[in-house]
Amino acid sequence: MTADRVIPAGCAGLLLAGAATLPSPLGAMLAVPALLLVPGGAWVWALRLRTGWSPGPSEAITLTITLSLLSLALGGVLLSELAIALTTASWALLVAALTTPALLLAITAATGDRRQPAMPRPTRAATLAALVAAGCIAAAVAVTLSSEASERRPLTELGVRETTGSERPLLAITVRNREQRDLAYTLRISTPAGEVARHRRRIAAGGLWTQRVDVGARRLRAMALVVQLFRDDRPRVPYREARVAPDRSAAPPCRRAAASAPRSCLAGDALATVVPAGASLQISGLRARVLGTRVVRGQLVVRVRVRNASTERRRIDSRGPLRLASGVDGPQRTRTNARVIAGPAVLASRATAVYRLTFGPDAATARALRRGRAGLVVAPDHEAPYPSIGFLSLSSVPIAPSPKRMAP
Amino acid sequence: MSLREPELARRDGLRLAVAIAAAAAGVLVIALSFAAGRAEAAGADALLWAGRLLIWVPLMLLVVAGGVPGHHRLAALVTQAATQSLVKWMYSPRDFRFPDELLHVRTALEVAAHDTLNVENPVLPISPAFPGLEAITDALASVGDMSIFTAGSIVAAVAHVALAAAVFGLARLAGLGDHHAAIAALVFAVAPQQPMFNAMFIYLTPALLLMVGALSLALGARAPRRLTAVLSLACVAGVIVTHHVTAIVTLLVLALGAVVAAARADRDRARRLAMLTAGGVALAAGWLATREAEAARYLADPLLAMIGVTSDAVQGEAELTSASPGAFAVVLAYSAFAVAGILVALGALALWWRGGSVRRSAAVGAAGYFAVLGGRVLTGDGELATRAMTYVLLPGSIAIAIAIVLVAIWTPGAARWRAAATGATLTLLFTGFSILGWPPSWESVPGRFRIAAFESGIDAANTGAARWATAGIGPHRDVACDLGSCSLFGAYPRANALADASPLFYARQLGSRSYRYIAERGLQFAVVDVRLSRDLPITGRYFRNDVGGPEDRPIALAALRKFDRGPAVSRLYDNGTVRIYDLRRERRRDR
Repeated sequence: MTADRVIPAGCAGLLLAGAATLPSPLGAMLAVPALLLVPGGAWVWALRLRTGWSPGPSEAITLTITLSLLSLALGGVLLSELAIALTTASWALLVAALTTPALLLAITAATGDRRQPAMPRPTRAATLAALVAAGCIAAAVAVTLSSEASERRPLTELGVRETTGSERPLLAITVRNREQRDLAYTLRISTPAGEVARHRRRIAAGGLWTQRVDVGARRLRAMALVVQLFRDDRPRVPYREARVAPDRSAAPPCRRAAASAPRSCLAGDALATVVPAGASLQISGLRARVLGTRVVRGQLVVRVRVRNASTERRRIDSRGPLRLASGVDGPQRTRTNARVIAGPAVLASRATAVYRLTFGPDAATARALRRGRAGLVVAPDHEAPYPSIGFLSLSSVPIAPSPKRMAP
Repeated sequence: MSLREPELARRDGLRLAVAIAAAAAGVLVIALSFAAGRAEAAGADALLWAGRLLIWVPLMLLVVAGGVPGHHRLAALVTQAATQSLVKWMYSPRDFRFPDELLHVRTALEVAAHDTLNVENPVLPISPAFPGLEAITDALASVGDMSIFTAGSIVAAVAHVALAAAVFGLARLAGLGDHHAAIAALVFAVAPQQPMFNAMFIYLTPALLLMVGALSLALGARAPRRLTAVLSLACVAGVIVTHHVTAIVTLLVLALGAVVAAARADRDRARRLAMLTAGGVALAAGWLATREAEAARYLADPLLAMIGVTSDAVQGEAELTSASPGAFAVVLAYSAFAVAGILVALGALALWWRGGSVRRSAAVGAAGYFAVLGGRVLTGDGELATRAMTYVLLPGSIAIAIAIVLVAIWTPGAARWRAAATGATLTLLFTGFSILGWPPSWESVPGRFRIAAFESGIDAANTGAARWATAGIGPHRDVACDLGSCSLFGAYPRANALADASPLFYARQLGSRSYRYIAERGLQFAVVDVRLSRDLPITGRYFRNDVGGPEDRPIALAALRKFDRGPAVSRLYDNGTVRIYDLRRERRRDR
């Protein structure tokens, strides 16, 4: 047992121990030789000393790396088949178990080490060439990392998810600034009934802002939530927008929906929002207010004032992607019998117009109106074509027992 | 003479150092070319070729020159392989981008999440059945506390560099001297898929090293016999748990060696190889018996494609007609393959004529070059042919090296002209193979985004969305997406990424048909990249089952925006380019 064998074996052991215990990046730097060179190298060394076999450089490189990779691949399979978890400890123990016998064999070998002839000392020119090579590689790495960073186009990420871990469901909103400069943002959370919350924060380049919002269990589940992100340098235009749809299963049938406050309800198979007369509803930048209803020759006429609060022109679909749902005690029935009879097809930004919608006449509507117990729900019709960019939808008005005249 | 030895050694050392410095300068030029590509500046391709030649020429000259020590030739080969791994890393320095790599990222992430190799990967079901790569990567990532990208890149690079030395050693076993063996290893190093594809984080990369290691030990390494038997069987076992096709090729080559040795009355070697083959077959059968039946199904598709039964099982360069390289490049590439064919034929004859079971096995293996070319012509499947070329060019490169040397010997004239002819031939092979290798010419430099197009279909926008989805939607969700997004969503968020949901994307509205489709497919999320409405796919399709006509016009913007109008569809994520929609509440609508 000589020092020239004990010292390399000890170094191999220290390398492995250091790789497994030291934090990154030192542990990472040690792990590469400890796992990808030491196991195979130890066996090649041991076999050379025990058997007198002298591999050439290509054989030594090939076997060192091949045996190292092999020991990890087969060792991993063995651990998995034995149902031993693949953790840092199990991997380190596996490599130690595979390497230690080789190191012991090498230390206790009787055969002498056949030393390689000494390499000639490099000339000054060769040293210079090596330095040039190292400099070129370092420059290539620097160019690559900087050019890759500049390739990434500026963007801001907005993400929304519901968290259900706590007692009350929360909305976890994340904003990541990848605009490559510091920016101030404003978050606006709203429902069709109005704004729920507003938050503002300045985010450093590359920074992440996580905002948890408690919007209330019922509201979160039964109403659509719109999350808009504004940049402070462009405060009027929503920069990013997310939306959490209401949970259909949480919505009650519309016939039970109270009209004292805006809320979602199921109208047949469609999800609708009930809005009391006089209340307003905001969807996709369109703010709608029901001015009143009246019945004319069996037809229900609803007057709605619509304001385009967005900065874009909006086309109001005149082909009627609106649905009348009428039902009292029996199953919900729906009909697409609404049409816009008055009002401009296109609403300019910040413009306001009044639309008159006519429903009926049909027996079901007339019957429901006569009974005076029907709720009137206007809901989106999925079967209708959607040629418009933003369309008026989801407005409703309850019908009074005597539906001849309604308060605006 | 002995007085001049140190001087010669110093001169050789200087030549090697200069060649390595020149190769490093070539790497820097390629880095500048990639930077130009990312800035979408002109001249990136020209810089790329300048860099490639700057790496190639000095190292090639060192390999083909006479009187260079064997370990210097080996150093040149290792440097060549190291520059290839470095260039591969520079192409995508922060994340894996190639779809095949992302498929293995998924398996590696599943292994890391469950602390076992017995995992499932719905995006590449065969992968967990051959978890060697992921086992090595998980070990390095766990012990070194590094990411899958860092650990995987290191594992792939180490295996790739060691393969260069291993091929050099294998060529020497075929009776070639250092000079000829280095030429053979150099030819293999520039085989069509070798510089980039075989340096990736894919199971082929370590499997190739294990295969060459197994063959070297089995065919006659100078280690003690009992030792070589144990080690070669262990290497075969390593190949079997790492890559299916390489395992099959390894066993076929061992069986071929046994047959040739038996025919040569080399009974000892024939018996050893036969026993090793039998042991390997038994190990493979035992291993596959514990795995899912996916292996057989997965392997059947490409084989059927090879014999022309089906052609839609694979995608490849045959579809990329609109993005083929220029006429000159095509002529150069075909010339390289033709010259290689002539050299392979000549070298195989020479190997056969020289005799010896290893050389004759190499001759038979080299003849596989023509089988692969024939398969390419008959099936039109370029991808499968270029992948198979890796295997046949292993013995083929030995044949080419012998042929090059023979031609040089027969060529009249001064030695320098012979060396120049050798260098020119090798450079023709290098350029031709590079043109038809990976990545294709239209994305040879990174930078410009192309929708649903391998590496160039991955950028910060869709990577950011996939990273957000890791926590935002959770693992094992059914996600509808285009080909580019699906390769990312199948990896980082560990989703069941469905690239065959094209009817949902092409539908102009979310009508009852769409709802039925969502319910039937069990779709939970949809990833919408608005660039689907702007860019035509260079690969010819956005989805695996593209029902539209994306060759002529992109998907209508209205069709993509329909998700915003679904009252029960949530838009959970928006980065201005990529949006993630939650369809789960919409799906319940149909019940």
